[in-house]
Amino acid sequence: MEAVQKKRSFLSNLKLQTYLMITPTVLMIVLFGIYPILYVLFYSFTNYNGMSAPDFVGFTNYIRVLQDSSWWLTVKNTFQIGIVVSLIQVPIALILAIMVSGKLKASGFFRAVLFLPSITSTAIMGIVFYFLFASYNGYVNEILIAANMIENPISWLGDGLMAKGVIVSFLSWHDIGFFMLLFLAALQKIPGDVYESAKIDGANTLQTFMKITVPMLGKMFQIISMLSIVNALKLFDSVKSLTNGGPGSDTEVMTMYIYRYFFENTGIPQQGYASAVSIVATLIVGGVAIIYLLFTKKMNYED
Amino acid sequence: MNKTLKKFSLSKVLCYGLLIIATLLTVFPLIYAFGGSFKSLEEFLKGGTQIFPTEWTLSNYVTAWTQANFGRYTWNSIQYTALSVGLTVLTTAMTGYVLSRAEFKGKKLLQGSMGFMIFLIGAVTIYPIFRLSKSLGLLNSIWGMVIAQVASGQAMFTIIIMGYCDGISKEIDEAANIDGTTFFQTFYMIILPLIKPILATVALLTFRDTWNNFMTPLAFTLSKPELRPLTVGVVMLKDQGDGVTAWNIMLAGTIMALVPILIAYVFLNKYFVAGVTDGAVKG
Repeated sequence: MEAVQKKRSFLSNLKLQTYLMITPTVLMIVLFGIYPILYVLFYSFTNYNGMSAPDFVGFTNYIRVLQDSSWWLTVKNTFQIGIVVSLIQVPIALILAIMVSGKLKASGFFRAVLFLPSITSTAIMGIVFYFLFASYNGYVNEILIAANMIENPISWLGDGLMAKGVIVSFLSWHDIGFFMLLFLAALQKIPGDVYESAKIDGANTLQTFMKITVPMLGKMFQIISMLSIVNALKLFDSVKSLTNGGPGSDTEVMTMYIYRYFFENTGIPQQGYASAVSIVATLIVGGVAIIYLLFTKKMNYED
Repeated sequence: MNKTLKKFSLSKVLCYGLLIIATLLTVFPLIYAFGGSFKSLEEFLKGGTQIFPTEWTLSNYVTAWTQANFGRYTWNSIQYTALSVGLTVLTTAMTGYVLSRAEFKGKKLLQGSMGFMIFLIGAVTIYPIFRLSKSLGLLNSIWGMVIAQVASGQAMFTIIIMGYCDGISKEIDEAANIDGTTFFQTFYMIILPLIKPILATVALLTFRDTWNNFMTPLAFTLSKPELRPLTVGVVMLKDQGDGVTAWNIMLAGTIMALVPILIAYVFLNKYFVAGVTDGAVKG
């Protein structure tokens, strides 16, 4: 009898302890994850201006989003940067991973150095790239002039297309080492004897790469392309510090548009409209993720 | 035999060549910023192809520290980071362990919400979080940023720690239970020491994320410039400073913001590497 009682009190105690231990996490997830989304969802149907009581306006804000050409320009910019950056990052990261996975003596050193940019702040390094590509006496121009490759300084950040190019090269600089490490982790899981038998069968390097390495990296390819795309869609710090959206709005990305509407609106605050834009952005990111997952699933199935 | 040896070393040379180019491109912006931060403003603005100054000067650092408030920014960064790291490790360790061991009502829901959180866009949630923190009176101190930061790491790091706990035999807990320790005591006395490596990883990643974070402190310090960390301090100089005359201060600030994380990386790069790989694959 006593033993049962003791066990019961222990059990209820266990439950209490369990809930107490997860309380901080649950509170934070509810207040900083779920509440914010419900908040923007609610206000997206209102004309809230951040101060006076909001009125419901139905889908007015959403209709306005659909017609807001400056918003869709930022969507276009985001996707352009995201797609180009992925196409550059993923192959280079794979090539580097293969090179540092071998028996080169200094491969440990190369891994450590190539990964280094990933630990630096994109906001801070954006400033450094801003200096490097400055049109007036920026280092890149000075080098190109000294090498007689150009005569007059190029206004890298003064032209929309080139400014996007600078952003792409900055993001590649920052993230390639990270993706290289992910590929490396996957490469090291491929058993060595697979390569041995391919060699015995007389496969050359390219064949081994296309027929063994790439297929066996399948899952990692998915993770990396996914990360690369989703990261690009959420881009903020790097663009904010490097170009601040300029010239004009040529490099303004989705998150910056939303941030500006919420925090930097110079006219009448339009939190209701900003909320509707936020929901659309969330749907775009979620949609891309789902399309991507479905697509890769189908590919796997066909394998 | 001779032929394959030759071919082998040729590819090796090519490999080294490409890796050395990649290495130079990787470290160049850092060295450039370092060199520039010791140049006088006139020398830096003059341009040229020289990376290092002809005359080294500390004046940029002195100006940044004494006139541009960077002493304050550095102290804010340290506080913001230390508090975020401590609280993140504490909370995610508990939840990670609970999710790995205990069954309770709402467990699925909690795990689902965590998956959902990973897809949230920072720019979307920052305004409601800002308003909430404001009404809770958290914007007048560093605590608002800290709590927002700790919250943002919950999903990812809990999942990583849960995975690590799953790898520890449950028999250890059961043996402790027979000895009469409670669930929390088992966690505190037995599990915590065992999961130290993953806690180190979480601490390091939180350190990196917090020290480098820009958007949260940017929004939270809009009306409280004295609470700004280094990242915001530097970027703000570019957007609203005195144009090119502040470039030298920005460079000094850049190096101040980079040095702590670089030092941590030099000594702890193994943990960084392990953590980042884990985080991406599991998260």
